[in-house]
Amino acid sequence: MHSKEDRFLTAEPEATELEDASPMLPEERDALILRHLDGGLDAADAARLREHLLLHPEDAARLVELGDEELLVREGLREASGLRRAVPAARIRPSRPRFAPLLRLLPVAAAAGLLLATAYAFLAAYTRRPGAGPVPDPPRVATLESVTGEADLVRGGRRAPLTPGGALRAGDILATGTDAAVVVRYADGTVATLGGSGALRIDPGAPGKRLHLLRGAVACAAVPQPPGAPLVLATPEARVTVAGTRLTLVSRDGATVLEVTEGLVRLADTALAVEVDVAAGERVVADNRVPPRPLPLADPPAPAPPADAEPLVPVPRPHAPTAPPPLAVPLPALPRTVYEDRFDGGLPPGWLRGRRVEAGLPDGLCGAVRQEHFRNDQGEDHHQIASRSDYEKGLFAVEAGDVIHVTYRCTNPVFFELFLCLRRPDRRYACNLIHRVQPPAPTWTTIDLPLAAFRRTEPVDSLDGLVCFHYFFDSQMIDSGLEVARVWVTRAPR
Amino acid sequence: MGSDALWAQGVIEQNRRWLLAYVYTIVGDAAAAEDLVQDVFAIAYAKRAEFRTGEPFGAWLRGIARNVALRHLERRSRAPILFGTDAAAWQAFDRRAAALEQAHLAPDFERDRLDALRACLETLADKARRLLVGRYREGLSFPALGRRCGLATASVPVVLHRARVSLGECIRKKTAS
Repeated sequence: MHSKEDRFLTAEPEATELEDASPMLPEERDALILRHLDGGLDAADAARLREHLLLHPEDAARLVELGDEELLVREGLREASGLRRAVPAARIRPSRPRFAPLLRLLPVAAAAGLLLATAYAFLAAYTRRPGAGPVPDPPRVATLESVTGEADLVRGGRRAPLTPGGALRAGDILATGTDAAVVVRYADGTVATLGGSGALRIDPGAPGKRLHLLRGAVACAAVPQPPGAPLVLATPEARVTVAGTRLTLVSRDGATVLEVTEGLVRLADTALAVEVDVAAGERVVADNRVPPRPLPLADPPAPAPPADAEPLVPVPRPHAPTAPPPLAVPLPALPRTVYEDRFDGGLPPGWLRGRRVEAGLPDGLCGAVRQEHFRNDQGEDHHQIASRSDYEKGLFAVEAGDVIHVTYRCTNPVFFELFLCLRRPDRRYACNLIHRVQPPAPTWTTIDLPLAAFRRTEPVDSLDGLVCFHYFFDSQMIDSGLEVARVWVTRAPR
Repeated sequence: MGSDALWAQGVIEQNRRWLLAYVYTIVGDAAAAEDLVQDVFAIAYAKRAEFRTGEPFGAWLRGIARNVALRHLERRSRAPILFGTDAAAWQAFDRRAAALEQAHLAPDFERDRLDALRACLETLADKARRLLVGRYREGLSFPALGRRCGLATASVPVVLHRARVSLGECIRKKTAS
């Protein structure tokens, strides 16, 4: 089966039987091409140019030459006047919301909220059916053995006490801070250790044990599992089936890395539907793009991660003597996250525009931000999500190879644009970067956008060294129903 | 070439300009081409693992760009200037684009051409220069250009085209020398 592209190149030219009834002079050909480039070619002339190119396919090269030259003239003349593609001032420096009227309403809103909450609690208590009793908790699946550092247990969408020795139930999500670790122990002695900046969901076993690594790293020491009831570790990219072994699993930025130190593990790349067996002393990467292939842990030698890279392995666990040993070799150097905004615990401090939402979120996320309407100083309607703005300190320093990732959905998928506002190190304004997403996805999707591919509102020689001090999503007068659950920037290892 | 490191080494900067010309030529809309080139790089980045080391990177990008541009025209119910089945024309088109890609890799290529453009503007007749500046810099309509330059509206596109052709010839001569 030919792809669309193949068809372009393999089909027989249809022009050979045509007659050149009215030959076109080079001047006329160039005039038509220039009008095509100016968007002013009517249907009859477009047909005439197409017919000419069918008869003289070599003249298609002239299209590219004149297209390149036309761009030069456009850009050269615009640069001569400093005129770039017009961007409304409101986009460059979005006006701050006017807080004063809101502040005046704050006490009233707080009182109303308190009243509503009380009424809700009263009604909830007295409208429960007699005899129905409280909804029983799901059964205990595992036990929380220990906690180091900052960690959360999310149960039914709310925080629950995180007590060593406490029960872990199906649906529970464990989330760890940067330098934290939690140890989960099953009744048969199988232990899973979640490292820093991770999230792990305890899923109901059916039969067997099910863990879902939403992000971060988990090290696992599994005792031999009963036949037909394996331990299954899932990540966004892969599913790992364990009969009894020691392994480390890392899920980060679109890739899952599995290292096996004992026993045999089966890994399935869920997008490619490819399964491989990974033996002791082997490592495999699943990224939903390239079929996974086990490689020896020690060969080829993995490049050393940059000195300032975030740790990819779980933090040391002196409190958990049963935990498996640390990774045998350094993991492949993966892009590291240099900036991140999430909305799990509310809008980040200083957030300028957007309304927090909690319904219908992707796995592992407890909050998102939805665009909201505002009218700027020029009376123009916009629908925006706008981050905090910190011109002095900036949000993050930019490198030309940085990639921004956005997890979003649009309930009214028309379009939206993402703007990043950059200044120079000497604090002079540099430019805005703009990327238009059209049409956007109606369901939760993550897009990966290299910053170097963004359109620039002002000429800048290089993005290296510039500072991003603000970003925002805008769909102008159209409410695209844009909800953003996560924004993060990664930097590839050099 | 397909690794993350490639993207950290300015692959977009190196390829943006010629790719913009390529997409612009297919769609005939400079503003849309800028958006589409962003899409091309986003797709290329997402598919970077599929790129095989040793193959021409530009040809790989052109394959993505062509599909993106043609899909754009299809969404707008506009027929492309080059027929999808006209393999010979596409080959000529791509060969010229590959040469353009190589030319743009030269460090001073764009700067030299901009210098040539400025010099050539000075050599044009005053009316021709005013027409070009009014059209390209200020985006004036044909009637407005006619009023400014004392021309009938119907004559404006003709005179403007001659000015544009003269400018192009001058740039080509200067850069060739």
